[in-house]
Amino acid sequence: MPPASHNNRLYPFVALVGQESLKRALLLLGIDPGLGGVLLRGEKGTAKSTAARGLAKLLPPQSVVADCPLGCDPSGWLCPDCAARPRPLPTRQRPTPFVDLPLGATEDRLIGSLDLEAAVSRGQVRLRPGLLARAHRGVLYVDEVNLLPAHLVHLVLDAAASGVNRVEREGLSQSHPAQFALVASMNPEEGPLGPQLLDRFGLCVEVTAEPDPARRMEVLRRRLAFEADPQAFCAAWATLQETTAQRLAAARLALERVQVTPTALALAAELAGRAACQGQRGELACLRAARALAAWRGLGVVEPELVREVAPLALVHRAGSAPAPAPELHNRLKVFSDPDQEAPPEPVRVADGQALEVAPSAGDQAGGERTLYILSPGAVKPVATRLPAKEGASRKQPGRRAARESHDSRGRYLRASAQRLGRSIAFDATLRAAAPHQGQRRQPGGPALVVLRPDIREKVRAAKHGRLLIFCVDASGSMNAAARMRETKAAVLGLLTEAYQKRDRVGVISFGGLAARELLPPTASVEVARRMLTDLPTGGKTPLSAGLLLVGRALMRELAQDPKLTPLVVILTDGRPNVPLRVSLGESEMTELAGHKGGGWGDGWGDGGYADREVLNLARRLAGDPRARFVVVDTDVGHHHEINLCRPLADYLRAPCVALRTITAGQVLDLVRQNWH
Amino acid sequence: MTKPEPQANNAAPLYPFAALVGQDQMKLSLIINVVNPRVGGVLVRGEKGTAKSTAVRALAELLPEQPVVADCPYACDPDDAGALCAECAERLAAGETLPRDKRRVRVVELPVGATEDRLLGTLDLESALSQGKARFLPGILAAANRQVLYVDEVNLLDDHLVDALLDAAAMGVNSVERESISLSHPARFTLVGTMNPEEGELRPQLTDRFGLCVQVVGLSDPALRQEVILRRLEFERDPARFARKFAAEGQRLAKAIVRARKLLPRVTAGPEVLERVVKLVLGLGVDGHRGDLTLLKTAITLAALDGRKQATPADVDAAALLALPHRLRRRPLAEMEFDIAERIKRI
Repeated sequence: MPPASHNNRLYPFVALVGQESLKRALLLLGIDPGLGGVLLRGEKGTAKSTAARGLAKLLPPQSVVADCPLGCDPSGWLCPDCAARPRPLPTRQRPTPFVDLPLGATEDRLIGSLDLEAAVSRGQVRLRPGLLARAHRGVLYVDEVNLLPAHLVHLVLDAAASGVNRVEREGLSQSHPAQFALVASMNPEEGPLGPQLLDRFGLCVEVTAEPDPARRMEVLRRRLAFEADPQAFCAAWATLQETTAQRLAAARLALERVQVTPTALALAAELAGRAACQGQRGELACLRAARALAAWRGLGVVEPELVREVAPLALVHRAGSAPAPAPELHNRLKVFSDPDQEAPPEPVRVADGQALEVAPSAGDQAGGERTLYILSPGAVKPVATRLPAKEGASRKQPGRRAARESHDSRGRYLRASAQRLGRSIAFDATLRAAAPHQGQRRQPGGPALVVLRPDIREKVRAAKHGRLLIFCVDASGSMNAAARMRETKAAVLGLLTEAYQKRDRVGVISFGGLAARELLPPTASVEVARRMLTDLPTGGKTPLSAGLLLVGRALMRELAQDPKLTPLVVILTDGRPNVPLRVSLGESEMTELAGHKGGGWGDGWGDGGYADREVLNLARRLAGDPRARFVVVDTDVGHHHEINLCRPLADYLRAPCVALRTITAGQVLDLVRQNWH
Repeated sequence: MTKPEPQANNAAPLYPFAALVGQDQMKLSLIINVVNPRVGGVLVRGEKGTAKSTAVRALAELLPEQPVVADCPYACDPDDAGALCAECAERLAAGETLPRDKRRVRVVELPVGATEDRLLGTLDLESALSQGKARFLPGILAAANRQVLYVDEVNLLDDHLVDALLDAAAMGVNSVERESISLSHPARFTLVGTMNPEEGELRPQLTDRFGLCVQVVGLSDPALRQEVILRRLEFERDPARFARKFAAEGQRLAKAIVRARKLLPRVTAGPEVLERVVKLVLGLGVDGHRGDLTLLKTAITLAALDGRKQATPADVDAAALLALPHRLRRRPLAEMEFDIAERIKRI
């Protein structure tokens, strides 16, 4: 745990300038930790971490069973150890814990594992609680959650949802309460988070930098003052910090008594339907957030107005499947109807077990119907933003790719396995496996721990060998150039959105006019791709050889960086090259290429040959590296009897050649799915 | 690894910083970081053979001395009670006087091939086997606390190492929750990285963690190029003599740095300076707020280097050339833009 002194250096929550929805979402979570977590999405350097850390400082101190390692609540749910102890239980006060889940964490530390020292010295099989236990009744913070192995994210979300951590490992079989407010942050530029994971966060905030110059100066001024003298700065904000903390504590107490009107309930359901959220998590989060907001404002009833206020926080990340641009959705949510023409408000209670029940009320004939409405919102319509795909085609659990196991020593150490495959040894797990047997094995005067062969555990690593896909697109001025570019762009964005596993990268090289260029250097980011592919120039001649040369260079560069890559290159062309390299590159670079001996992609190309011959020669060179695979898509719409170069190009590349007369993104995606392994 | 080796143990003789020809922006950015470690490091981008690594390693001789807790593996600052490691904090709380020592700031290298356990620290196997105790063996991040952490070819660093590095850089703390170990220790370092962009880009999140970013290109002036080669040959022939030749120049530089470090806390920035900072970041289109702060700190440091107690908007403009290029939202197809002087002038 960080030394207590670090806490004195935290920037106070209340001193944050602007960022209203960020602060609101965190406060709501502070009031109702059962909201299911808050995800902070935003560009770098926008106070995401600062705010999350600041939240913990606002939460009230809590009473815990004095020597319980799990921090049990004396008046709440007790762990098995505490439950077995005589009453009254000794108690002590502690500040609300704030626990960081570092990216390098291993499974044993997250959920807990065998206590090595107890096992060796006393022969006891005891749980050494992990981070989930430490976060019990506090805040668990996951920075850069999109970079955490999906497997660990699932464990965290499971515990966050159930409030229980189950440990079944190393001879331990134990459960303990793990109820925490989950705060996670991510920068979408680093790759997205899967929709299944996204949906499980109660609220989501899009955090952006402050656009207003005056406020921006204030941010700077405060930050500078804070760094110059943290203590003085915190002291200056202490009063506001204190009143905010008190208000939050009061809101927590009031939460249970806040009532939800059926109108509010119906509105939440309808808004979720509008936003095309799947499942019921959307409206639940919406209602719970609205309830917390009511408690914060000292209101006894959730007015529809409150639901509308929190709806963006609860629904934006669940809207449809493709993340709709936030402003658009905000409008969609705002446009929605006037709630006040609905039936008179009937008190409805949102119970803690996340089930909605209508408060019993005489003569409430519409009660059942309302409940039904929540459970099956008829308005839910899937948005057609997804690109067409075959049912089940490579869509099932794409996140699984994240944890592809690797047999070498690269990658992040995830967990240990008793299977012997010659991987590197997981010493920690090996020692834990050996520990319980030391009673029988230890010799007087010998080492403290005797490890035998069956104890050996190996490291399972998450190898994030991503995949690489490069589109090489003909942008020459032929009949369907514009369609080709447009559909390729749609396919790129579709792939990046769908294959959200962040290590998959897609790049685009185009050739047209006299030269080729890398329109999109390989990226995993939908945002980057969208930005860089706004402009798709077409027209001019067909410098296919320049395109292939650039493909070669890109491959060489990428393979140098990660020799394990098996890139796929999809070439979409009419197959009518008419610009030789001499023209594409100019004399000087040609000379350089020609004089360049030994292994480069471009060497030997100074003879100024014809475009066709160049293309096939380059193709042969490209096929020389067995790691790269190719697909040629013949997009020629011209006359059949005319010869085009697609077939021979494919032969030289040892690649399939597919003819697509009218090209669509869906077809391109299918092709990619069939060939991208 | 528990005790960082003193500077003098470096086997290979270092090329003197003062003997570097040209590459003024790179040298300036390094010096700024020595004067003010809070600027947050520098990323040096450039082709092969442009003295990137030489310059960073040579920086060692310019680094100042700092007070440390003598027997602390994290080289804690005995004068900064707020940033002590858990052990030092406990000792202090128990009424112990922490033993003091003075040590020069070091350049700690993170090799590209390093493993995760070496970077973060790991389970001390020896003590586990002999005593059955799960103890922590500190890693490179521990050694880098309060030092310069240098990553050559930072763009080739394995992704999971980058993640770990980002985590530590963000909070100044290394949290280890792995292999039976659960502990945090301070890891505040000045991150210096070099890279050749031809070998691949750096992830945006990591790029943003570098305070400054400079681009070095091969010298174009034939006379300077000649001078580079002559000096290099001379250095290789007799490093000691070569070092003596540039000793006076080096000392002048070291003195200027000491002066600037002393002046730095007293340098102020008026509202016109803040205004200029905000105008520039908004005008140039910079993501997030980290750029604002770095720009301001860099401007203040420049004023200190210039011997002034007051930063000016002109300092901000000069600082922007170093603090903003890697933070600009890039236009489609655009390379990283280093030549932003014109755009700055127009704002």
